[in-house]
Amino acid sequence: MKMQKKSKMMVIGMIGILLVASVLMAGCTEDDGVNEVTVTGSSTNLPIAQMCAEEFNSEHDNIRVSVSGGGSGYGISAIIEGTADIGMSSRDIRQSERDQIPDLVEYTIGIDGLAIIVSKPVYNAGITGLTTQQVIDIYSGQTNNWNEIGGPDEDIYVVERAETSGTYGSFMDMMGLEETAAHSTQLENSDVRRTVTTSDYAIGYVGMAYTGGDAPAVSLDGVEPTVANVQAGHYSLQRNLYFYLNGEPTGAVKEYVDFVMSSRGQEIVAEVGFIPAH
Amino acid sequence: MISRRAKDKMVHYTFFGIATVSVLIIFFIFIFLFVEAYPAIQRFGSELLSRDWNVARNQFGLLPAIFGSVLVAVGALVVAVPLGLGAAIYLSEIAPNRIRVLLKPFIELLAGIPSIVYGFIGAILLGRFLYDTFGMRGTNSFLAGILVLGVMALPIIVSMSDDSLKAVPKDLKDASLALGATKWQTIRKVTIPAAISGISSAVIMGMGRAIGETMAVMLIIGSVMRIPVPFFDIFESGNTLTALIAVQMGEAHGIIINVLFTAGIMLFTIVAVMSIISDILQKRTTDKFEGKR
Repeated sequence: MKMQKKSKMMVIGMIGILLVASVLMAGCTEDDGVNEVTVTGSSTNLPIAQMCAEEFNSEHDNIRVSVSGGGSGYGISAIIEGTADIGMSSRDIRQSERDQIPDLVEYTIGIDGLAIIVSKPVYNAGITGLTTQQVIDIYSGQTNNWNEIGGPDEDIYVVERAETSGTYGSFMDMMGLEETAAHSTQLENSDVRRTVTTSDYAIGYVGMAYTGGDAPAVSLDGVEPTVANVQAGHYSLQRNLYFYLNGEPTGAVKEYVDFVMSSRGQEIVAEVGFIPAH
Repeated sequence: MISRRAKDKMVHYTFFGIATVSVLIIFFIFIFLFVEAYPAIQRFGSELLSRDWNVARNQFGLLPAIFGSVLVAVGALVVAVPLGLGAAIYLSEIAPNRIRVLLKPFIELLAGIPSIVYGFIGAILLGRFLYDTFGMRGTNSFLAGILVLGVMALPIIVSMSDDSLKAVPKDLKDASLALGATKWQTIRKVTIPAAISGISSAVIMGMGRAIGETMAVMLIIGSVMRIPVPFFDIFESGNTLTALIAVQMGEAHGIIINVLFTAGIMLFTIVAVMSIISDILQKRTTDKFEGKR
């Protein structure tokens, strides 16, 4: 009898805990008067959206902007499926995607220059600039050793982004390449940077925000990947960064988009290493 | 008041229900995988087993990733089994109790380290160390993957083998010693054969961890869809099914998502085939030990 009483108590206790837990969890998802704005997509746009969201959130108690990565394709499909308010993309939207969004609205939030980075020892050995043709030859596997282009006698370690990423697509399009002889495929800009910096004779391409320090950027056809050059349109590896929405923004979403497009928002774009759209 | 028999029935059905749910979950996962993979299988068929991978040209041969998964898993076992088994034998048969209670928790702690930590150590320290030591082309390689996965599989193999060696009845060992066998002869001829089913399942679990591991591998394997030439050149970079899915899934769209689900099915299949093979092996050894043939 005693045992039974005890086990009954336990069952009641467990049901109680479950009830409390479910009420608490419901509380998290319930509308607590805060307007949630979700932004997702390209990891290139991520630092812009994130920094803007931090500043924006601290100024608006009733709005919470949450930003996550996942890639350009993911960002656009989130708009199609309605799982996010804003989709970030670092490439132009494809026609097949455009067809699925009746009221597509596009904002150019900034411009990204893709920079070619090399390992420090290569840079120090005199490879401070490459031509587009040299980059094409390296990525297609025709140039295998740095000494073929005036560098040290070392094999080139070629690092690229994942084939499904917007950055890979942009790079391949801009270089006119269809396949590469890369030795390492990396998930994100930061992974490319890490792989290039931990090797001594590597080359990779990243968004301009990810260059510098151990990962020096080389000039391309004599043009340095700098803000001024990209803004003036002198640099060849550059692309627009977009916010895509399904329908004109309203309410909290509009306030956030307006903030990103404001002069303060564009200042943040520059602070995280990109080029303001206007 | 519920009768004892009714209570028994209730317990019976409750547990039957729980067991059914877990089987159903696996079943539904497989159905889901297959439904998601079907468009790719239908469109590409046996091309999915070729070695040509080029997203731009719609070539989705998964062979390099299948090869890589098998290579790193086998390599990890080559690293982990001798070390793990040796450590288990020491812990269960040789070490004084004082040392055993000190060492075992530490080895079990190894299993609790999140895989991203292993990956990070592999990418930052091990990759660079191997690069400097062997003069490799870059810091990503099969070798780095094999070593990290070997270490990751180690605690499982040590812990489970130790448990099964410990479970061997003392009578068996005493009988062997009484017949004049040395301690080493007893370990080799009696204890290990008696514990072989537990040891094999430890090895399978270790292999399962090696094949299924994603984060650590993704950081160090290089994720390029190429089979090294010659194929055992573990200083080259390559890919595994898990790293392929993790690296490409983020921004994937269209048919490639279905291709990646096909890779998921292959992963599932490889693990299933391996566990069946080891089940057969295990059965054979137990039969032999029990004198059935």
